[in-house]
Amino acid sequence: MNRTRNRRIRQAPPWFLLLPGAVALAFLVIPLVALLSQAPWSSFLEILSNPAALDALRLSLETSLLATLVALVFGVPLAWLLAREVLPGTRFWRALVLVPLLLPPVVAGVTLLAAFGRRGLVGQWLYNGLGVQLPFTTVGVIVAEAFVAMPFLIITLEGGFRGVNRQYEEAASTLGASAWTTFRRITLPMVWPAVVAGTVLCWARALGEFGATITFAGNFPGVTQTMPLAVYTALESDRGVAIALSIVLLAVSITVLVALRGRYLRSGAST
Amino acid sequence: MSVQVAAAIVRGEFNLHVNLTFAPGEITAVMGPNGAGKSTLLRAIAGLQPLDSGHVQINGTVVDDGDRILIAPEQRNVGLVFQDYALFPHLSVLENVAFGPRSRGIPAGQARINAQDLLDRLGIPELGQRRPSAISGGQAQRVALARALATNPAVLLLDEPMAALDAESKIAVREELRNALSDFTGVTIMVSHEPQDARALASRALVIENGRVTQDASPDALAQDPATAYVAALMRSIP
Repeated sequence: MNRTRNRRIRQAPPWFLLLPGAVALAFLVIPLVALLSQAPWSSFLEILSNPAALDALRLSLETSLLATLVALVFGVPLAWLLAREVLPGTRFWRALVLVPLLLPPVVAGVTLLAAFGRRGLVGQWLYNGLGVQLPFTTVGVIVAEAFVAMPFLIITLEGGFRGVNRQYEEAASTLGASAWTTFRRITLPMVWPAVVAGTVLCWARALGEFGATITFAGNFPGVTQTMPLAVYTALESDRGVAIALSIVLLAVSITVLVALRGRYLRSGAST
Repeated sequence: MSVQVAAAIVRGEFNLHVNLTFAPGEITAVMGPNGAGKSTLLRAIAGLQPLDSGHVQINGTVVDDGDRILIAPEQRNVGLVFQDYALFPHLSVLENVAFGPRSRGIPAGQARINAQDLLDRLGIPELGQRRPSAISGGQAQRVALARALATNPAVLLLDEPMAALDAESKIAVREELRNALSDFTGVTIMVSHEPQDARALASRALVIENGRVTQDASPDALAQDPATAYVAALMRSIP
């Protein structure tokens, strides 16, 4: 028995899996290697300390963190409502929440214009009534990022909330804990891995957001030009700058991957 | 300090209709087949299961009248020991026991001192810093009991407190539970499958079958004069 098993392990994988698999691997890895090999390493810090690049970096960090905060404040409660099926038609709402996840980002931007544009459904009221304009402003960037990124947080957390045994919450209530105390001291700590995973996924998506941002908020340096937009703009004038900025974003992605590789991503996926 | 329950709960095929009064200091064992409504009775008293009609009265206060009044569990002063104890896995044993008093507004430091006192009294002073996953079943039962007693409840409910234990530890744990319960002056209602528990711990035995009370007597009377075939079979099962 042992001998046959050993022989099997040493056998070469079948060519019809090995060949296309190797092509896929090369296809995914070569661009990353190419990006690093073509980077203007000698002037790297110089490029990144250029005011335009710093503006884009600062704007990206600010808007993505605020978008993540917005997603947390409103998305955590929605994830709980969906997990506990307290809303009539939960299945329908859950499906609808996932739409921004699958929507082409440009289309997401168009829907945001239809809703919050100056003549949009809500936007005309905001503009005429309160004098608030969202499109082509920094707040508009946050709106676009939150719209696209929040579903990542919601689906991750909904799974987490579903995995919590209701008996712990019942026990807390018989011990005298209010609904708020139970949520804060029992439910939330029990879904903490999902909170972390969902927050990081949401933030990474917000940081990389391009299509909805450029459609809804435009591409104004210092106001709405985030890192991905700056990369796109730089490509037309200076490839080196585009590559240097890209490497910063790549570094963020890899950091997120490494950070989540441990228990957070695994426990998030298994619950 | 008494509990009065006249409850009707209907859930699909299942319905529970009982009319019972429990006196302070009295330990009642509730027995009956699976799905007879034993746990539902406890949940109705604790406030986890609303009545369809009837009422639950604790110390003269109506906490559920099947209609307008429905006092939430956190306002009822009822302690419940769950079947699998439901100890909070992310909190230490000490924090589990201190959770109730802290939720009721007692400062954290004082709540921890009281919790440690309670662990001392129950003979598990050394477990405070452990996580629930790192203690034995018998210890977990005592922690769950300590957690429920920490809020000084008027009513103590135990849902099959022995079910999660292996046969070997049952006898020792039963004795410890007896000592712990003897100090408690409120109403105690314990659901159990085993007549030994009723005999060792309870002064009153209640049999619920199919949502109705079929016998309400002393544990000894159950053996001498079983009211139904189920009770007779149950008593014959005692070794």
